[in-house]
Amino acid sequence: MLKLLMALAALLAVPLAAQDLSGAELMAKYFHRAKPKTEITTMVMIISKNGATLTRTIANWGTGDNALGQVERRVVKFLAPGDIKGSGFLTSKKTDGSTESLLWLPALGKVRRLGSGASDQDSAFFGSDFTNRDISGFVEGDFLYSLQGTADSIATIEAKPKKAMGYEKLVYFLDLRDFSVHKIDYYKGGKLAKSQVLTLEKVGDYLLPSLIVMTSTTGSKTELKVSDQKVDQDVSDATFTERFLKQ
Amino acid sequence: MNTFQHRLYPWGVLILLVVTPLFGQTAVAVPSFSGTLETGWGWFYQSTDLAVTGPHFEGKLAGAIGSAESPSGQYSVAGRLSLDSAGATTFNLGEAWARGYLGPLDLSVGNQSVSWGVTDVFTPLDVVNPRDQSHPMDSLKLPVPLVRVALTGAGWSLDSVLVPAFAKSVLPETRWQTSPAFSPPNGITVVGRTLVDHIPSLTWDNLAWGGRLGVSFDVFQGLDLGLTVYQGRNPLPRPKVSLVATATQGQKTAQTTFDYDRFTLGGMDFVLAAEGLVLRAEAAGRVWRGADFANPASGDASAQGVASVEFTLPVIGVKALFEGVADWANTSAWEGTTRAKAVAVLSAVSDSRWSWKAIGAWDLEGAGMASPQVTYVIADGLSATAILFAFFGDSSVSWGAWYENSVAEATLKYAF
Repeated sequence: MLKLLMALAALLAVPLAAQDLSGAELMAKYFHRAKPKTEITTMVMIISKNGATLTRTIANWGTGDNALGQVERRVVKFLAPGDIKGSGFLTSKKTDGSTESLLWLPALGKVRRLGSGASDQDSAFFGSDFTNRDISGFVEGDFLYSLQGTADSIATIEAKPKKAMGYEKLVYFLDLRDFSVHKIDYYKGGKLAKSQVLTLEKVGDYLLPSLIVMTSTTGSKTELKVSDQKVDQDVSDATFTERFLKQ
Repeated sequence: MNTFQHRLYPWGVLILLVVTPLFGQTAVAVPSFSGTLETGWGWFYQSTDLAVTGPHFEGKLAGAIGSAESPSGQYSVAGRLSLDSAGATTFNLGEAWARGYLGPLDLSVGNQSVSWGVTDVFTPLDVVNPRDQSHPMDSLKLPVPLVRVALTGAGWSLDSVLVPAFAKSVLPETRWQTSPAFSPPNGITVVGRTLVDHIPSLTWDNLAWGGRLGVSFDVFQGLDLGLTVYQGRNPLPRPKVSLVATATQGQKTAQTTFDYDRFTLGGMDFVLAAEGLVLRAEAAGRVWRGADFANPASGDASAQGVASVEFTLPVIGVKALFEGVADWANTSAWEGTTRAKAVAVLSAVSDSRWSWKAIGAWDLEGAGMASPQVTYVIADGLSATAILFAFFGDSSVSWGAWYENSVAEATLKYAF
């Protein structure tokens, strides 16, 4: 009885309009959710396999929102461990999903322009379970969406890529109460390849991930833990330049 | 035996001039200390020699003044402590500089390395620093004292350097030197050898300078163009052997003279990222010893052109880089001969711990090198690498001449 009441309460909490939306309309709500104008984040990336772990600490500056027709710009700098400390990259993702990437390698004293074809985007992000594409994020227009079903206020939406990419399809688990995504399944070759689970926290006016866990079916796992997060700070355009990348 | 190799430069005063105003800023970040500890072993499998690369420690103290997002200055001091197989320690000053950010202007003073150009293996525009070529397959750029001013605008940058004192490259160890043995004329006995090293003195005439203008365009996934000019001296010597008479008739001393030739370089480079392809090219032309640009004498002009393509192979995710270089030297005026080399590099990161690289290099005159490498990350910052350098082909051509130096190496490195 209690379970029934809880399920009813959850159902009532869902905006009635949300239940009538298509998969594409629901994902549009997700992509157009409130996002900070700027983000400054420090994260710890823990890669686990066979019981052993490797840890990387990352500082990240971000601005722009593709959903608002803006270029999304991001600077990532590695703070630890020592062998990659100081290196970093600058990406600019346009609304069509094309990405311009620059990599700073302090040992060479050089900024290298990187390719951003499908194969580059599908390569692993510094040996983790994330690909470069997972880290830079998707744009709404990357997929065709179809609603598979709804249960306990969670809509299951299948996303099939319009252009060839390393994934056959993604399945989003979207909370109809706030249009946030708590889980994404990634499929390759007809099988589940990996799952991403997001723990969200309220930061200012926004619901942002504090922990992202990507678990591959091969047995490895990568956790991205946000240790410090500031939103809507005054971050100047000079931050998203080669000059800042090298500093 | 301990040797402490470093020099204090009088223009270190300039460093103080750059740093002092920066400390007027409110926030001074706590400096960070980082470093690497590395040791290695090599086995020359043709001659069965075992070479041990003595452990060396590199330490760096670096910090910023002001906020992380917009520092008003930075400094860095690095040094390298090496222990050779005989137990001798050597200290070398590495990069040691102070930099001030003054609006769009970056002013850096101190011992620095400058990387110009865009290509990876053959780098005709990367001419500012000499190199330690003791092991030519792992040559290190040597930081030199210089003043660097960089001006940055929206989509462009102008980088300029002024190098007051000449610094020469460290020559390859004996086993890597490929110069033919000197044979005296019949009837002459060489009873000794001397070396006269004409190191350019610290004069206005020997000042080196240069600049690079870079412009970026929003074409495909980015287009960069660069123009470079540089005037300096070759850090590698031009050897000349002559016979010097002794008191005894028929006996002479072979005197080798090293001269470091002045050159003027002009060059350009470009990078274009278009979807999955990255195209890079750079070209440089030089005139030597103050030659007449319009009509240089034989050997007084040279040029190098490099082109490369980089892409990631689908499905397997292997990164492929192909680079070719053409070297040209004049035989009269602007007529000359050309020789070409090519390099292929395949690399991949298998997972968080394993990565590998395979390098193949060919001199089109009939020699080459193959070098597979594998790296395993043991723990955070601790990695082990195994590398093989195998040389083959015509022994009169550079790589083929190193056939006896084919070596298998293993290194262990800890970085913090």
